[in-house]
Amino acid sequence: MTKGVVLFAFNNSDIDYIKQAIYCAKRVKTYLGLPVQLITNSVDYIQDTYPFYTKYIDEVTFSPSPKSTSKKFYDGIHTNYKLKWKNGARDSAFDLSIFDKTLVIDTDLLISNDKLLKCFDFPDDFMIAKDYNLVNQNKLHPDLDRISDTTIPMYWATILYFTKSKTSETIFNFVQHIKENYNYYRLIYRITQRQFRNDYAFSIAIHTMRGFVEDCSWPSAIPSDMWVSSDRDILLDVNDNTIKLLTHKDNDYTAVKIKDATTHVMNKFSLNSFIDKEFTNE
Amino acid sequence: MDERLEKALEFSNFLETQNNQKRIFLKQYKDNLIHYAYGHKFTASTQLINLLSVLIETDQEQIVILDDNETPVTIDNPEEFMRDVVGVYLFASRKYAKDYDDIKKNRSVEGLINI
Repeated sequence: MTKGVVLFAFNNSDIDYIKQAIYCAKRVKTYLGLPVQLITNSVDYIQDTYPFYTKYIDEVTFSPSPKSTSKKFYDGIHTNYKLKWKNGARDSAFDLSIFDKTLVIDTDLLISNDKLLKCFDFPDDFMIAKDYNLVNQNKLHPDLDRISDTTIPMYWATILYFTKSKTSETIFNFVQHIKENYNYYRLIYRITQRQFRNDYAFSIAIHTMRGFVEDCSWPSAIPSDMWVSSDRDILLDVNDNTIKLLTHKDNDYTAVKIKDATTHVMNKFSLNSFIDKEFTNE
Repeated sequence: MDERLEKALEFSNFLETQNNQKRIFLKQYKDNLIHYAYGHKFTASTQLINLLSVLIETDQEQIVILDDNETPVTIDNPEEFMRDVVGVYLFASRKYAKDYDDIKKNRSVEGLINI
């Protein structure tokens, strides 16, 4: 049985997701020691711009760019940009993964321990991140608990695990159906955000497949920690498994240090600046 | 800015950073208490450790306990399972104590972040 990690990267005009994917793969190698498959439309770009990528990425698979939507990306509390967002390819993971047991993670996830390896010991065919901790403990984010105020619990497509099984195939096919009919599902589930979001699609698929109830232990949550910092926070530094951030509070920031914690860094700009520094030695 | 106000705000900033770090360490402690075995999730709580201790004292060769999702799990080697659970508890609690101790020693934001 082969096992590995799948990453998706589709660049827009300002954010280099390919660069993030290589850095993410580097951390996968360090903490999980697993092979990495990158699914992207920028095969030439990665070869020309980051020739060292082969140290960290074992397989690059071409996939056409998914349809883009427009999204506001924050870079701390004072700056934001409206950019193209191409996040609609996650449902192809089942078909494109070269592994029997696959972990799909976002490229902005900074893996800082080996807890995700536990996934491969579980008998489950499909697992997804549900529980999370906020790096900014001074701020509540009820919007991250449910896909809308009055509807269903949110699952995070940031970390997914699946085997090549019938159950997983059904989930991914259904997510594809939700994507194709997103406006319908968006209205049914009272989602205010107009852009398609993988987290919502997987949450809806799970809710449907477990019989439209909340009180159900399927699917198992990913056996790992996941810390979340929003795009209004700023990543200052990463040193091995120690991450330093400025977390936002109203119009100010609080310094935070977090160690040995797998962290989802949503501020792509500060993450990319850090990776630039990191890659100067490559 | 009046120096007295500046000092008060500096202290407030320090306390906020300290509280944030304390909450992070507590959350990490709770995460570290989780033990995955036999494809199930268990929290290495004092309650679980006590239950295992009592069951082992009564010389049970095989026991059934509920995991965190209240699913029954048959444990064929309770003593080995107990050792693992206690190991998880000891690691998590010692790490938490050390992290907390480091916080107490630092009296500035810079000190806290360079812990």
